[in-house]
Amino acid sequence: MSDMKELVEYIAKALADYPDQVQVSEIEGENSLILELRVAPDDMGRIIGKKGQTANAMRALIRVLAAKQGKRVTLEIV
Amino acid sequence: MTEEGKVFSAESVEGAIDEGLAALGLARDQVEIVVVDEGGRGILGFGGRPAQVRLTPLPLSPAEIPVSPDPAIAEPEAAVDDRVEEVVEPPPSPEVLDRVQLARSVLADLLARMGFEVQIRTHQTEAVAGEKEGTLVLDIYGAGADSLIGRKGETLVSLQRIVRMIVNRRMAARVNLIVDVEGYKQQKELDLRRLAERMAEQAVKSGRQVVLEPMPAYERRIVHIALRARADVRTESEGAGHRRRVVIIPEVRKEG
Repeated sequence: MSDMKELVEYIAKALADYPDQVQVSEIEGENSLILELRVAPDDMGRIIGKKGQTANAMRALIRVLAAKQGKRVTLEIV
Repeated sequence: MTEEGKVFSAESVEGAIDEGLAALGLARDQVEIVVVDEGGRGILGFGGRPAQVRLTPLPLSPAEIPVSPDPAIAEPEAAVDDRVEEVVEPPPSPEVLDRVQLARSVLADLLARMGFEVQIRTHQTEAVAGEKEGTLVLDIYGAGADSLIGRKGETLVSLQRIVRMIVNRRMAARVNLIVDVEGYKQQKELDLRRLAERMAEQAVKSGRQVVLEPMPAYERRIVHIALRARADVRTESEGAGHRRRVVIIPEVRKEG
């Protein structure tokens, strides 16, 4: 649960120019979890990456954690 | 590296491993664990797929046959400062850190947050021509580390990407680094080079092109580089996305 949030927050803050504007909120369902990552507009490109590569790498790491907990997790960058 | 062994499935990779170990009556370090399928993953789809792992009992070498283990000499202190949990303190300022320490602590931070209690060992490869310094290799080992590899090594690629980005950013420089799990990439690279040579021989002998299985970019690169020095074949990549693969083309067609 919140360890996924922490993982996303850690990565996003480490990569952002404006770490204090990084916000992660969780929307929890029964077997699913949606993580909404908000960053400063100037950081969007960096966090998403070329062809979404950085965002996808974050998703892959979250999946490892999600698999352990038997959950379906979605990361949205908004 | 054999394809034998038994496949077990469960809701999660960890669960499948546990189930397999229980069924075989073996401990984790007595089997080779290969993640066949990470199972239902949820970005888009509805993950109904179970995770699958293949467990192959490792042959015991004489030294490893458990002869009344002595708990008194278990794990000397070296293991202590490697523990991931102990490295989660806030990172000291960049100037104090050298890149090895920095890369190590970034990786440790990530792994701790991913719920892994594993260890990291580091080494530096020698610089090859044209490089100022070698590549820093961060090798993760310990219980469950293999579930960080992912299908076709994709999880490992992601982990490496994130570590590189964070390290490069903090160092304000490009650091050559590789994240590996228990020498997986090193072994993979050896296997791929051997495969490349064998397939090149076949292409030359038959005078026909050989199409390899689809591979991720870094694996295709290893094949291209492995055969670059050969005059009798050339290599190309074809196909798109996950179907992209290497084709080995004989340069001189052999008659009879």
